Amino acid sequence: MRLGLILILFFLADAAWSQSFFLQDGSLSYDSSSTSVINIEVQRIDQSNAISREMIGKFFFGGHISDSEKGNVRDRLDGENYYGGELSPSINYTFFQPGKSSGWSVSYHYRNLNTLAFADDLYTLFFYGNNEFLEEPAFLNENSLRIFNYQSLSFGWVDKKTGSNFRVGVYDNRSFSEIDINQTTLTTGINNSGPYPFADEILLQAGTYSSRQSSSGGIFSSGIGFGLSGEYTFQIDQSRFILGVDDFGAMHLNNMEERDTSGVFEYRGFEWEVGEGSPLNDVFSTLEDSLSPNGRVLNTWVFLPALLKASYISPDFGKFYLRADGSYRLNMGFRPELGLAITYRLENYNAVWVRPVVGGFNDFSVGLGAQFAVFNNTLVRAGSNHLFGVVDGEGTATSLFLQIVQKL
Amino acid sequence: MTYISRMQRVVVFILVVLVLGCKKEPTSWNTSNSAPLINTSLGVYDLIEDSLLSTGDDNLVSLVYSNELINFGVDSLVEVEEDTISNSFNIFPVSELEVNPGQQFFNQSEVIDFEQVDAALRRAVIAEGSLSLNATSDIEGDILFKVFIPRATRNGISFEYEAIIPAGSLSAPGVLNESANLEGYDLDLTGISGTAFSEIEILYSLTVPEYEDNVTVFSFNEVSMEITFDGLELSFVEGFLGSEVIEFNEKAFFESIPELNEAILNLSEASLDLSISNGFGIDLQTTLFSVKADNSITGNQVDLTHSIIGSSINLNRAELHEQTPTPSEKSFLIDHTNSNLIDFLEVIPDSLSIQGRVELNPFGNISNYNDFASAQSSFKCTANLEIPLRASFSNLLLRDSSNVDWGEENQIQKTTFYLYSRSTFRADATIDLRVVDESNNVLINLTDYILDDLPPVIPGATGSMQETNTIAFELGETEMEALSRASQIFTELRFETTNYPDLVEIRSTDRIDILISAEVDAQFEF
Repeated sequence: MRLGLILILFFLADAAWSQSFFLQDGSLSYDSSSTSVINIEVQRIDQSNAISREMIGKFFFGGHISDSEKGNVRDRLDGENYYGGELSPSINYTFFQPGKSSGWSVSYHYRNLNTLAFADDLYTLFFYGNNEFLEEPAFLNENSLRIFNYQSLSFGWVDKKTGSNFRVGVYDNRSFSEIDINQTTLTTGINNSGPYPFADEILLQAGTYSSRQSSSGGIFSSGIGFGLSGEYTFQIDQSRFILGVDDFGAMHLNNMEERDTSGVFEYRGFEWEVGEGSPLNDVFSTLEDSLSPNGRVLNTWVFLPALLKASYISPDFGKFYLRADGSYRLNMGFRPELGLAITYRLENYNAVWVRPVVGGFNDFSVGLGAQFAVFNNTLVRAGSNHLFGVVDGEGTATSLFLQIVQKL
Repeated sequence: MTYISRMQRVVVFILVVLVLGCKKEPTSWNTSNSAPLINTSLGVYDLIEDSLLSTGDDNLVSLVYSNELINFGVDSLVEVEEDTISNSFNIFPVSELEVNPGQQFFNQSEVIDFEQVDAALRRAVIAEGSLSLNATSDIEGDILFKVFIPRATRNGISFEYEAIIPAGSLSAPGVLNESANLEGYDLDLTGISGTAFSEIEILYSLTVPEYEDNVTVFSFNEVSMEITFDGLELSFVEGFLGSEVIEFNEKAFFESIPELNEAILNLSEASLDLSISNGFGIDLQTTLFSVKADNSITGNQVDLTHSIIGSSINLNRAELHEQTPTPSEKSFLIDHTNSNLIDFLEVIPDSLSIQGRVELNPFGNISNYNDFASAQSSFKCTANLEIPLRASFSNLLLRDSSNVDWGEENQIQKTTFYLYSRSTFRADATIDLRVVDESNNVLINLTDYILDDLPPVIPGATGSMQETNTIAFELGETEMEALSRASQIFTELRFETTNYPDLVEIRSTDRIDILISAEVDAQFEF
């Protein structure tokens, strides 16, 4: 547990800029005399348009979610609700041969991506129970869960002069899940014939339910993939531009369980014959079994959740310059995000910035960041792209990143 | 440098605080859910064991106790005991004999007479048993021991068996101990002449095996042989099976009788069908000296008085169709008009005792040796007691227990159980639900938690309409915690007909449908 936390804290960095050789102002993180560069990055992001950081924290780290916390989230529900989470630690080593204009790199990435789209009634059913729906059905439309956990080992080439780079990686699936529930209602039938109304039926009308799941044992046992990552930089007048992509490729998943169903499931209590023992022991597991559709196992290709990114860095105006970053991760249900960092240049590499962000699941947020030299050859970038959740538990978006560049 | 060191210390401090402070505890929140839990339908067949009930054409249910009071099989009539042939061989006074390979130098024919059998058998089929061959030889060469029984056949082939008596010496004779399976052999027991009874011929011989060189037998050599019919059990016999008299004194216990001792059943409609059956191909004459009802708890005993007691009952021989006997039967219907059956049943017997005798072939060998007995043959006396459930129940008590294993549960704050019933029984049922732990200590009597002081009663039907009712039980956190330690739930239904006319009929179509639903306020944890 502690080791895990230490790793999480240690590996916090901005995935939007994973393995970038560029600093905040677009300059290179190494100089002409550098022979090696070690780049360690970690980022943790939790974004939602409804769920607070406090509730997300209690999900991951435990604790009692109070009625008022549940209520605050409930007040924010607006029909289409989302959550997206990401944890992305990575380490890269780049070697520049003396006298050569390029270098070679080797990188390790671990990426944990989660997105969840859920209906208001699913939240109410989950956190309040079906007593909220005794008079009318719970509508469970447009619900989806995506989880993709993978690690990669990449080998790449770097143009020493421009920092443009290119990596080819082999990917190992750790876990993959896609679950979709649509056009579904859950009705709790009430018997009002006597003095005490009580539930006598639960009716689940499933429009569509589908799931695809594959989880891993050993390395490459549940899936192997290949992907490309890289960045290309160019300059027009005094403005710099960086175009990049991460994890552009596909993965072949083995032994993926695929299930889908639709129909009506009626539950009127478990049939019990006298003397058979209590059926209450496994009410829920039996219910789950009876609702679970028949599955099939297959091997299939899926696209990696590639991240497309583009940056613009303006010329300086006094001590300030602007940096605009846009990013969009494919295939996971994430939304595009655009940030504009107003950066104040300090001496040497050092800089601080404030960064309004639009898009994503949170629509609008503000970030703060800093870049500074710790030792002569060590650079650190740290901050948050979503500050509201960091300072306020009721905030719905939180992120922290940390990048350490060590020149040798 | 000082600044960096201070910053490092701060970072380390923050890490330590975060690591220690982020101790994982369960994630939890409060929920409130309602759901039906158990759906059951109880009929009289669910409450009383099926084997104790029967349904008439009018759906009226009767209590039925059926028990075999006597059951004698073929082994009670014919028993074949072990029988042995012993013989020995030597060449004295000849001093020496040279025997070539393949040459037989001794053979013998003998008749086994099953004298122990108290019958004149013409035929017997062996269900189980063997022929044991035991021999010793001091001849210095292997000897082949052959046994042949021409009139013992299986699938049309006569019994034949060969075994080697190993070479021996005077100081260390060769020993043979083998047995041959006789299962399924059909023995013609009419002897060599074909007109005798309980006899069979056996031929046996000694030969030098083909693989041996010449064997020299000296005057001092001896071969001893024993052939034994061992452990014979018969599946079929035919002949005259004798005129034996068998006395019997048997006791049969009832099993799984429901606790009816507080119910007032209408015994005037009860009947006892006493059935005696003869599955042997022999005429039988039986006499019942007494039939006694016994309640082992109260010690009460009543002898049945009926004209059958003390009378001789003649039973014709069974007929044989395709090797299967068709028994002849006599049945006697005993009720309150021709016996003391009401007194007999009022002791609520848990066993019946029967004493009597049965005589085989009371008129001699009138079948001319054509009696038979097979493995399916038996002499049986069966008692079938039927009490129609047309009764006045002051207190018909039915109990059941169910094992419970709740497993790991979330923290439940309050639960309201609803017991919804629909009954077509024309009797009210008072329900008692006790939850006990592994040591049978009562943890909760659920009926103590009924809301609004309602009685714990499932009301019976009125007229042809079913009666519906809902009882609610509210359990708090303490009671739910006690419930989580439960290992069994005892359910007791006490049927009362005090609100109904004199006699109430219980029909196979009568049911109590029960739905248990729950409303649970719980702290969900994971």
